[in-house]
Amino acid sequence: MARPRTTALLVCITLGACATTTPSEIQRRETVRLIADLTAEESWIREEAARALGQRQAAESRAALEARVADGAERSWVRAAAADALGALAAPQSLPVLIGATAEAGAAPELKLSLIGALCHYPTRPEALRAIGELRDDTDLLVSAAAEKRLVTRCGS
Amino acid sequence: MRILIAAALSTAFTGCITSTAALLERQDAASDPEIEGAVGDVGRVLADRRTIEPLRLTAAKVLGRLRSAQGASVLGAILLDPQESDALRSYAAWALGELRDPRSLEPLIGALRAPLGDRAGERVLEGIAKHAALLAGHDDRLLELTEAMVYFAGQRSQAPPAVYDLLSARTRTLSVSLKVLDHATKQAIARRGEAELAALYQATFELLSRLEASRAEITARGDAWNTRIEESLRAAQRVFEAGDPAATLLVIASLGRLGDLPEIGREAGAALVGGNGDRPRRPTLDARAGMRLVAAWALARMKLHSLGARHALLFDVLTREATPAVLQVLGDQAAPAQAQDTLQNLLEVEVKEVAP
Repeated sequence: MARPRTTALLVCITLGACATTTPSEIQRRETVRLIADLTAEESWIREEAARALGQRQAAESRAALEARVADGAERSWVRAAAADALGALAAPQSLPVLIGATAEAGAAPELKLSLIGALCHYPTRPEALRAIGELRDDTDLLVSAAAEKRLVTRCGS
Repeated sequence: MRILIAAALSTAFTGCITSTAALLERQDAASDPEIEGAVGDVGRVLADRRTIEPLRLTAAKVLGRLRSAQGASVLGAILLDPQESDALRSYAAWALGELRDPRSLEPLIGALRAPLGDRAGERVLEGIAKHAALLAGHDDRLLELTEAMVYFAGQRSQAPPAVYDLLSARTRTLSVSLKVLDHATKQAIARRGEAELAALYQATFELLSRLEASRAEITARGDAWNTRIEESLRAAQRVFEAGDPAATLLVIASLGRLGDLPEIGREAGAALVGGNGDRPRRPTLDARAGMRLVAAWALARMKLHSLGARHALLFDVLTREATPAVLQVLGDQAAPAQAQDTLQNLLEVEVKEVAP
């Protein structure tokens, strides 16, 4: 006879817990999961996770995103997505990581284009503009043109 | 039953890839055999017209990310097929650009001569721009590309995207522009079709724009430019032979803008009306007032440096011209009111020189 009562109690507790889960708590849990996805085996999951974190501007994901950008062995599209996300966060602490990646030998043009965009989120920081300036001489035509345009417009449109 | 057969065939042809996730996993191929296998599997998905479009778009993206030149043939076939959607062709152009290989450059250049939507056209130009390092120093390739770009621009009803100018500035040398114009002129004279005349106009515009953009350098290093100026003006003069009013007007207006430079004025005057201003079928005698007006304006700008220009102004415009607007152009081109009227003075000298 005690069994149905226990079940009812568990259901009641569960429902109660659900009812008290706030939207911000749900979002926090999703962010935690997205941060975990940044180390997924498949690169497309890591890329999508980075993009989603950038859209959410989830400040708690900064360190994990910086790790993706700084990892030279990471796929270029994942690094580019992480750089875009860091740009959206525009945290001052991320600036050295972004600048460091621009100076990396052999970085993919796709990553450099994202880095230019990300560095433009720091228009008042001379070191960010200097790093963009270095890319004006890049061997890739689109990268050098993007750097030139962003500098001329001071990162405007 | 039909559905079952179609599903079985689809599976057989696409190497069991039936989901976006399965396709995207192929982009993580690392070793050469893995990449080769992935290119084959993904290429089959892309090539199969029965596959739904979102899956084919993903397949094109994955081929670009695999960065294997083996993917160039299937991507090129999609890009060059006008039956395919603009979106799929755009993805194919993007992916070809990512390959950065001579095998991917070829279909991209070829696509400039195929019917292209705006988005696909822009992606094609971006794809070619990614190959810029492969183009440097290869004049034949540059010529082929420039002619294709001229054709592309000539087919559009609106200005080409910004990447067109970027690519043009990097890849087009004056010698390449000259060859392009020479070829376009021959084609226009031989066929006179709409496409040939559009290409002639574009080639003329790009050569003369390049010359105009070099004004400061011409002024600073005039001697070094002599040969190039002569060749350019000869090429511009040959445009008249095609008999296309739009291209003719463009040449006259461009020479007018350049004609005030001492290094160009004399040759420009000779190209327009002859060294003595007596070339048959010169624009100052054209039946259209608009053509005469632009010619008068251009000659007035080069009058200080060109005997031919002065003669044509004197004997064609001042003596025969009856349209007030054309005569007004000369007035507007004369020196400011307070300054000496250079044009009148020059013409007076000419009158004295030729008077019996």
